[in-house]
Amino acid sequence: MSTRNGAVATALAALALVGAQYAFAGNELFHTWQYALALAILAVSLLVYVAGALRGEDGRIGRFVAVAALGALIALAAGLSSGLLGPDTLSVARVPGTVAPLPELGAAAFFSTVDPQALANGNAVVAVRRLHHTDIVVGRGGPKFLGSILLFLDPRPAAYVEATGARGRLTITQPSGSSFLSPVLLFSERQSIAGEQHPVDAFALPGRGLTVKVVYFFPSQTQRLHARVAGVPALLYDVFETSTQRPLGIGLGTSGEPVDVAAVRLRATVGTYPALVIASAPHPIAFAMGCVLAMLGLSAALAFLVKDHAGVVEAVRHEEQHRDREHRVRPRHQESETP
Amino acid sequence: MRTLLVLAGAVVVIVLVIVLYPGGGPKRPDSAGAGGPSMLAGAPAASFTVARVDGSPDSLDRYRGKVVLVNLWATWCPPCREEMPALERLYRELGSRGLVVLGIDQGEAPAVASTFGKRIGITFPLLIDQDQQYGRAYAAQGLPTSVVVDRSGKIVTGVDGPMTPAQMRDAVLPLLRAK
Repeated sequence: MSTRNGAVATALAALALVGAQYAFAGNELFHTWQYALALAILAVSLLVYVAGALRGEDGRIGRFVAVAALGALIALAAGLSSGLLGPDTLSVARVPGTVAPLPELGAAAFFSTVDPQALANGNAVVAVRRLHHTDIVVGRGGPKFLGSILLFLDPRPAAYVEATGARGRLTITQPSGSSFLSPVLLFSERQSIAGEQHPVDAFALPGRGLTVKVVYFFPSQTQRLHARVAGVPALLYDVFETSTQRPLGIGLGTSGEPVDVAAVRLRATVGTYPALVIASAPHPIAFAMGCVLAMLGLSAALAFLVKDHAGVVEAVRHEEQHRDREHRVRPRHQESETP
Repeated sequence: MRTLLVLAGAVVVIVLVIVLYPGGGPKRPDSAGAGGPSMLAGAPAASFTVARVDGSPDSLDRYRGKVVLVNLWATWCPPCREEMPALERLYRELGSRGLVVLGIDQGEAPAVASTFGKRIGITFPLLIDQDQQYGRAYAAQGLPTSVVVDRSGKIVTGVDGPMTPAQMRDAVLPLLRAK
């Protein structure tokens, strides 16, 4: 492979490696020293080529390739800057209808309210609000940028719980949850049951002095349970007395199915509710400009190469025609000179 | 060719300025604390339409122009029950000067809240928030939680736990004086 081809391949590899930060946003790999080292090696290779090309070592085409390499260097700078200086990936999970302040972003995340149907459909959004700026609604139309920060949603299992006693509906509280007064469970804990990891959460019914632990079963995990719940997500309710921890009973139900335990009717709508993921990414303007410059340089180099090739072909054809003509003339000339 | 290289150089400089300018992008987000009702001071008060104990619709927005003391409560909560008579006295004393007390029950059946309200003689509006939306919007960390809203609809103060009569008066009187 020639130096020039190597430079082109390096530039394309650099764009791909930096572009991967968008395709696999939030991946911790982009904050490792190995990734930074790979980008740095590519940058040094390109710089060496650019220096030589500007001295004219690779001819006129080399200068066009140098422009492409400069574009790749811009993308590399953006990629290195987000990888090394950008924040580690952060997931902010909140219950519907609450606000999470993001002081370092100068913003606040508003988690949309949901009714059981919206939770079942999994179409909740998160609005990121900053003073004197338009809201950034994350959830519709994929990830959104806030400077060089990428915002996107990570849907997680959730359940909207309703509890009813003999005198009607009961207050649901989550003393250890992210919101005290919420009927939405986000299952932020995991528990191993029979070798499988299950999301778990708990809520209290203070009006009845009860606590309910809820274990989430994914469709793949309900196959081994009762046929009634096989293949669909299900919840296991473990009800006990809050003050004494005395167990009062367990029940198993699917989404929307009422389950009666300890004189309380529990009903949960199962679905997803998103966490807001904040990840660093290369500055979109820098990356876009780098890509444009790289494509311009490569296109110009290619055009010059094609033109140059056409010129060489033309010159060869011209030379051949000239030689042909000479060949045809010379025998007659030689004949006339023949005694 | 020379023009192209100059252009490329200019692009590099511009992009480096954009990327490396210290104020150009957001900084590292550390954590997102949950906070409590007190952190809401200065924010617009969230309003949701819910039912009163008699079934008619009501919401905080309806009381714009008045000073509103929003009290989140439930009948199973002993401090809430203890706080209710003081809230009723405050409402009777200052209602004519533009104070509204809204008792918003969190998640219980209307009959339960209504029975309790009648038993202790509550005259201020009792609302039933079955989805507990007010509780979440006002970052309640327990019950009772009180939020004082000024005439323009902004939260002035948020209190976690029961308020004493003196605290209630201190919170609402300056707002009632301001026109």
